[in-house]
Amino acid sequence: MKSLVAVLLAVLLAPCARAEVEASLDLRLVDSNGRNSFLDGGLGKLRFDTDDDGVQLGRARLAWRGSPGGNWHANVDVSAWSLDDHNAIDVTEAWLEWRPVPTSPWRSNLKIGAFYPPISLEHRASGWTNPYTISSSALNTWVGEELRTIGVAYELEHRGIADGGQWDFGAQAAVFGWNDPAGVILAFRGFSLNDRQTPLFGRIGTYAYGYREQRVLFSEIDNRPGYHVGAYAKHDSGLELRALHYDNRADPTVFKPGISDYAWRTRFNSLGARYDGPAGLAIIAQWLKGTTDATPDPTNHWGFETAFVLVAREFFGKHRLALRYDDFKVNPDPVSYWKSEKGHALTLGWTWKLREHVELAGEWLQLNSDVGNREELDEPEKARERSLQLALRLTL
Amino acid sequence: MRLLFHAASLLFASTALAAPLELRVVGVDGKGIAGTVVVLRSTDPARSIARPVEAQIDQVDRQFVPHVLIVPTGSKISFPNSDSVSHQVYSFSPTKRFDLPLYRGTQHPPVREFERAGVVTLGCNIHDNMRAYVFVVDAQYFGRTDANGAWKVPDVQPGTYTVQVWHPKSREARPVIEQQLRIPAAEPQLVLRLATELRLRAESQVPANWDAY
Repeated sequence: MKSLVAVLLAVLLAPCARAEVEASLDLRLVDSNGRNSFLDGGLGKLRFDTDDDGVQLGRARLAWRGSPGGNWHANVDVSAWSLDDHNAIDVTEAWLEWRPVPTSPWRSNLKIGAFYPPISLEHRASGWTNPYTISSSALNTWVGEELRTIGVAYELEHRGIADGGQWDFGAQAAVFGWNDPAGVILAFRGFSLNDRQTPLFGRIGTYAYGYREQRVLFSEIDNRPGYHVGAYAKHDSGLELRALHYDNRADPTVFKPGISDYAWRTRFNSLGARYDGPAGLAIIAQWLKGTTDATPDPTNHWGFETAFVLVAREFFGKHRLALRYDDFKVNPDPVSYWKSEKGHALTLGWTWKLREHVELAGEWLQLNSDVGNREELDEPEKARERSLQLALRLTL
Repeated sequence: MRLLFHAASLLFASTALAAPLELRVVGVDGKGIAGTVVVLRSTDPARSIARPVEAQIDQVDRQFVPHVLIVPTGSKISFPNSDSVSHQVYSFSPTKRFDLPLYRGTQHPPVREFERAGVVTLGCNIHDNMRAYVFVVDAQYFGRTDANGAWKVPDVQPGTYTVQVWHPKSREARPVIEQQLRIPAAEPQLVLRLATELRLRAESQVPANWDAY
């Protein structure tokens, strides 16, 4: 995988008249009453806990986009979230795409590299950024933390709307590797609402009895490729529907000493609907349900399910308000050592486009959770965590 | 001498009789429909049609500007790109199939000639939310209705015309009105009423400049 990324970087960094660079900086002012964050080994569900109040780095991002020729496009996205990370600066996505110009309503494209599976209906801004709220939904936070398609995806679309019809349709199939640990965070920590993305060579902090521990997420453990298949439909009224089935086909009996982890067999189905209406109205609903298994012990089995609804609207052309309700649960096998969790959250987001290249964003978030594993930390199982964040976003 | 007199009177007729025209397009509820494209084509094949022009469609904040353009057949349209990102403009409409290689900048914009009459839907292969419509017309008069559904022409010659009314967001790929119309000599005010309700496409409302991808 590293060599693939190196090739992509070389393609883009070579003198290329069409290369474009995007750079952005997100600085935060944080006020949180969150429990000890999962990033510090706790079972707090927020990125910033009560020790993180004050000024923080939200994200620094640099992206290259270019066309090496013909109908090929390349993209490399590099970000930094915290100097405490395993790699302070790391790659989140790197891909080459073959996207021929359509000569009829039919269009196809082929993507090779590391990229997000087409699940999120929230992350519509460049760099897989959520333009509505600072923290993403529980569902899409998990996608950003644990999922990446490192492989090949082919998509076939029929774009009927551009041809005078009412519907666009598309279907995608992907084969991937290096996503065998997916599921470990849900099992040990559960769901979270935050804006982090795990970079390709990076790690993510997780619950470790109060100690700081970082997990490798993108590694091939059993040499069995996984797949996902999905479809979408868009109506000319502004309605968009998505469905995806994901299975990393991991063999949970295989252990990789190098990263001290088993392969996690993770499978799920996800559905999403989005409506874009007048005055910048957006209504988004997504649902995801699946299971994960690890180790030869069949009782190390977890089921998980999460859903959210988000409503957003623009005001005065420069302001946007968004309100989201999240619900989530993780249920381990009843005879296993692990305990269940459930929770819900309410998020109010505000974005103000001050002028070109400068944006302010605010967010109030309240997350109520009941996490059985908090017993291990001698903490109350129930927690009501709140955070208030103000972000200054500068883009090049 | 008699022939000369006849020719002179025809010339006089063709200039003196041209009069302003106000044409309103209304829906079944009687309310004016803004933004419709109106095309008047004389049934007299001897009359010359509008001459080709040089026009422009820019790309600003990941949107085509203008969103709708009407040009006579044979017109040339240039496509500057004022955005900081590259675009790949294409059309697979039968009226004009073309694609412009990925590019940006406004210095030497690509130019295409639109030879045939019809509707051309433009898209960008990188940014699917970008869409624009070019109406290529072989007619004497054309324009768009204002906020009240009215379209005014300062000098229409009386006669018989085929009038076509299009709506860029119509779910029908045909004109919403197509009929013959007699335009009398004295400053006429005409109302064209749609026989059935106009079903418009909502199109994506995603603000392209906010949700850039």
